[in-house]
Amino acid sequence: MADKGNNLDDLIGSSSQPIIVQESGGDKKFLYTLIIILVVLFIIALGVIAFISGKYFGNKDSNNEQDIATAKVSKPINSTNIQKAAATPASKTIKEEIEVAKNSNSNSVSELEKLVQEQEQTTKVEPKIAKPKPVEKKQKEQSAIAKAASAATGGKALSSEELAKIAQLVAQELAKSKTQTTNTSSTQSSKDDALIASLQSAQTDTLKTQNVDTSNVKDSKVNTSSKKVDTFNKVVVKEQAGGDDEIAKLSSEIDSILQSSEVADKEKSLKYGKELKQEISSREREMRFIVVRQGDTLSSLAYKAYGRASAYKKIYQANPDLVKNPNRIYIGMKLRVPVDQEYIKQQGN
Amino acid sequence: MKKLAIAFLTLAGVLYSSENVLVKLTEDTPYINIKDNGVNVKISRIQDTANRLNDDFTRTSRLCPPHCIPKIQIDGIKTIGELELIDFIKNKVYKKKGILVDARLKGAYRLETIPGAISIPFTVIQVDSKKITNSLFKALGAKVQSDGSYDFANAKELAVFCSGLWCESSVKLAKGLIEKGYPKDKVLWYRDGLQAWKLLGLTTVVHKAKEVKK
Repeated sequence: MADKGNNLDDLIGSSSQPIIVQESGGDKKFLYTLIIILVVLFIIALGVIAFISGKYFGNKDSNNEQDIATAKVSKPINSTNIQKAAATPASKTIKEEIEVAKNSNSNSVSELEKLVQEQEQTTKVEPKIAKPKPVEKKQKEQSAIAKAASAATGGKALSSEELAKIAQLVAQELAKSKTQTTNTSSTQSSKDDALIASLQSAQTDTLKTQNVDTSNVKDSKVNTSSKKVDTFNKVVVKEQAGGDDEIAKLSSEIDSILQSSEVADKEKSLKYGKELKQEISSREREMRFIVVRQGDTLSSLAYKAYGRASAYKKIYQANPDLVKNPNRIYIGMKLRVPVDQEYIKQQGN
Repeated sequence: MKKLAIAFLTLAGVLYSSENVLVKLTEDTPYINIKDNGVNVKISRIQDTANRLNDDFTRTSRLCPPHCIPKIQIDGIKTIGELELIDFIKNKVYKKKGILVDARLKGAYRLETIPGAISIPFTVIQVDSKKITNSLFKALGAKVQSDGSYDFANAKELAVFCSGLWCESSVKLAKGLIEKGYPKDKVLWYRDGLQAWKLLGLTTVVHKAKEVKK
């Protein structure tokens, strides 16, 4: 048994030798364990692959999104970034993206297109400059609009002000891309050069002063897992739980010093100490928790804590979990109950 | 064979359990571990990127004086920030070369403090008693020599903090220690205190007194 066990390769690999394993019960057992282990390994491998690929693709997606967002918002001066963002996806995906954007807010996109056209007319480039191919231009324009819309709105409807802002930006970027394509073309007069230069400098300035609203740009790495996140990050430790720990020993040593009457007297006599004690007592109240029991509602808890049911908003606002999902309190949930402001004022006076 | 299987299973377990830490301490350190009263505490940050502080440590205005804004450096005491403090916890407190000192009153320490900290209220150093200073310095690793002077060769490094920027307790303690002879290069001051610690969503501990009597 031991020999066969060691010689794994013989068991699996060689077909020329008759399989001896069938003979004894022990060997059968060994085969079963082998199969089980192989299955387990296979599952683990699958899991690992899923884990790695999920991570990889997840990151990739969000990176893309962020690239576009940053290209649009935080680095608007670097036109190549935006060009890249607009130009890299193939023509199919552009159309798809426009569809998506249109679905999410069809009004705003069409409105946006109009605005862009208007803007374009105002910042029109001299007709002398060699134009890029119209089809390409149209595609670029559309994709840029779609990108801008999807990056900036995050699904929300846009106000006309925001639309105008975005349209302005897009138009400027398009104008810029035009100038860039002309840069690469070989036939250029000095007049054109001067025009391009002036255009570029002008655009840079306007973009620099542009007050872009970043509030709608999504943080690409928000924790979206359904697992409950600990929003308190507080660990409860019993004092001197581990008596032989050096820090705990030191702590108790100092405690014994504190217990001497001189230190206690000093603490009482200090005005500063008194004020600190007030702060501590108000903090003790500030940090109160209520554990939700059966039949509790936010207003009944508010009545318990403040004497009036209408004060439920205080509890609601003090608990991030509730703000996210105000309709759910459950039995055993720990709710933070902030102290009455009036109480703090009383303490202060 | 069994060992191999176990090894693989543990590997798989580690892979699955390794949480995706989005909010790390630094780029390469997701969290650190420290012992507090014999209990292992993981110092990490709150993972909810939408979380905000509530009433704890959000009070903006206390009377000044006495709760005034401190300078960045006081009397040449070395000022440190969060990362230096985390490094201090990791390399000094953990290896028992240093002590993290909460300079506030004991009540405040019990309510909430930085993991691994011990309580040395500033009042201790303000007492004019050679006996108390002696026992304090002894606890901190200094030797009391026959002529009454101290030998600080084995004295521990201290990182002192209190509630926050507005809090003077840590300054009082640090100044007092140095006045009474503690070497200046062994005292660090975490100026921003618990307020900044909380603002970054870092782990805190609540100390429950041994016996709660009401």
